[in-house]
Amino acid sequence: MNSACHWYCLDQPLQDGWLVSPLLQLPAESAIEFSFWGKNTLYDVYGAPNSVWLSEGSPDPDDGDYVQVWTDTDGYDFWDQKSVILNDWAGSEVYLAFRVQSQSHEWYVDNVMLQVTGNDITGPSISHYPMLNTLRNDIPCALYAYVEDPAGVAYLGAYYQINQAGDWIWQGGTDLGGGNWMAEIPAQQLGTEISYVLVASDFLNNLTYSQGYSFQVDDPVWLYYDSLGQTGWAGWNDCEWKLGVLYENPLWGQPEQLQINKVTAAFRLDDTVNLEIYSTNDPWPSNLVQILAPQPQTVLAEQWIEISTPDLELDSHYFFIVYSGINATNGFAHDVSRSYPGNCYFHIDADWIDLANTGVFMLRVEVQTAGGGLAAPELSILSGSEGPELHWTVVDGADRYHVYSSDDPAVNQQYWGLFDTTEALTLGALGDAARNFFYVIAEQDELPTQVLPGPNRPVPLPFVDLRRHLK
Amino acid sequence: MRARSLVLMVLLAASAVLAAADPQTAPADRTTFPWLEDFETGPFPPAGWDVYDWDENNYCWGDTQDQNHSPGGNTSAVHYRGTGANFDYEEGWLVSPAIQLPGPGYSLSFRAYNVDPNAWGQNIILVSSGSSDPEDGQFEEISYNPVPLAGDWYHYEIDLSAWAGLTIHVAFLYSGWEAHDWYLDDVQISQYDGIGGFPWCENFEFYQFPPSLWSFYDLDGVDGS
Repeated sequence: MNSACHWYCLDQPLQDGWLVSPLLQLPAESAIEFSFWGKNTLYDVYGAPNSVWLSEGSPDPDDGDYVQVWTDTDGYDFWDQKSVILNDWAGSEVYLAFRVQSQSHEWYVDNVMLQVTGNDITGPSISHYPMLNTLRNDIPCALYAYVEDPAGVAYLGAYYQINQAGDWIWQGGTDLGGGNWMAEIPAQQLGTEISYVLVASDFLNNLTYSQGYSFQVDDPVWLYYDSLGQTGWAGWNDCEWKLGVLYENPLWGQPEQLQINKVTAAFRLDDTVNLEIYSTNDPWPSNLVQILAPQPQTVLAEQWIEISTPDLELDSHYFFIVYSGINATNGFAHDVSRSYPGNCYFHIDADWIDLANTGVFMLRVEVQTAGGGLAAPELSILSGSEGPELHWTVVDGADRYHVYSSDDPAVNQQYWGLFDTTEALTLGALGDAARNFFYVIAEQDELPTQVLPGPNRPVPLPFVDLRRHLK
Repeated sequence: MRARSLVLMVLLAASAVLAAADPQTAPADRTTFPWLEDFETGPFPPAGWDVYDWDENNYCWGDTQDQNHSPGGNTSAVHYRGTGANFDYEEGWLVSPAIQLPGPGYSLSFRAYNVDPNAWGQNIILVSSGSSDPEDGQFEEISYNPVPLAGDWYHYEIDLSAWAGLTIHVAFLYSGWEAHDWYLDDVQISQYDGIGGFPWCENFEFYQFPPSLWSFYDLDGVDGS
């Protein structure tokens, strides 16, 4: 029924009333919360802010030992519980004081409580989606984590190492609020592998180390959500189904387009499936724009296949890679050791269903900054028995070479003529063109498929029936 | 109002002493500090303690293993709520042995655990420097509803400097109508050196302001703060 109160006093412009607690022996190595219920009357003329102060010395404010630990910028006419974390004073003897300086409003205080919320020796929990490989060598690599601890999170940071050599470098993180933290590894040059471990501490100096992760900065580079370890097959038993994996365009916001080079996949059973690719600006599979029409692919049981996708470029924020026409009972390589909610989907009827926290599809895609394509062959002209001969170097993946010719090297490329197309690496008998200028372009067939070494596991991997996701 | 009327009815009834200390065999005054009663040993009430069941209804102070606060122990004192039957008003006193306070700077602390606290129950702490029998009217309140919160063993501490050099009895008075259960443990009198038990709560229910061991400073020098 009762509470403490400081009344208003309009006749006296300077109020300075202190209500001081008993001496409090705060336990060491503990998380300590000081709380109370407060309410204001005349809150609409809320004056100088109410505040709470702490002294490790004298209880008398005149002695100057107090520091402010809490204040309220606004008044309120309802009972509201306020809380002050005192972990920084664990092990100290302190006085806590309620201070009123306003002459215009009243402050009621009740149920003042001090409790030890944890005498823990456990570090924070760290939830982290490991950094994907990236094309970007011009910006820091941002590592995001959600960190929780009953005693409060003192900090999160990352130790990282370059190319598995040299010192581990500490990079402190930033508190983004709401338990979200971010640590930035400085921009790295292409061809770099970065290993990192996240470290978080609570206010009691309990540490947590995440497992180790690594990613690559390169161009081209493979994007994938899995841990490189297959744990089983995930599929749908009742009818034909699709799967889709959504990736963010690592070049989003940059002038360069993203080029998709290859896609790898592994199915549990022999099948004929369709590869489709879509662009979208939504962070989920909607408003999809098809950029690769369904391409039938024959896949063999438990064989990793690599499918090239030449000349496929996009500038959307996201792209979505789909395998459709998958037979019932067939499954796709699945890794439950990682999950990226909102990125791996299966499709039945008319709905894309998120795998959420139940693992990822091991569908991987190689991307690069557009404009790379096949490498340019290096051209040289040598003297042969029948006059000049063109020789060029082999280009990986090329199925043929187009030889263009012009008598004027300064004209636009469109005026150069196609002189020949050949699968060879040399061309003679140039005839009237022997005194012309030449360039050679390598070309690759559409969607070549390559079978890669299979999982080669001694025991059958488990099959996850995705019907469980619908329950 | 109903509860107050019932209090009056009970007070008019003859009170009963369930266990009174025999002057011939009672232990000497407690003179060694810190003095602690954790209700872990012997029959209840412990030696030197008295229980007075003023309502003479179902429950009075007893011991229980339902709840415990003592490290390594398993027992506390308890006063359960009434059964809810008509006129089952509960009012019970638990009175400590005589304690001889050597001087100023001593405090009483205890742990309390309340189950289902509501408006119809009261926890009151009293001190008498005279008779240990509540009927004699020499107890005075030093705290009222000190720990109304439920769900944990709350620490409470009260300054006894006003009785420095005197021999006192401390009483725990439960009253209520279909009220709460009050568990009590680790009653201690020792030299005060700050609040060291948590959770600790001050709810400003007792008429004394500032509460025991608190202080206030009116630096502006104007009444009203």
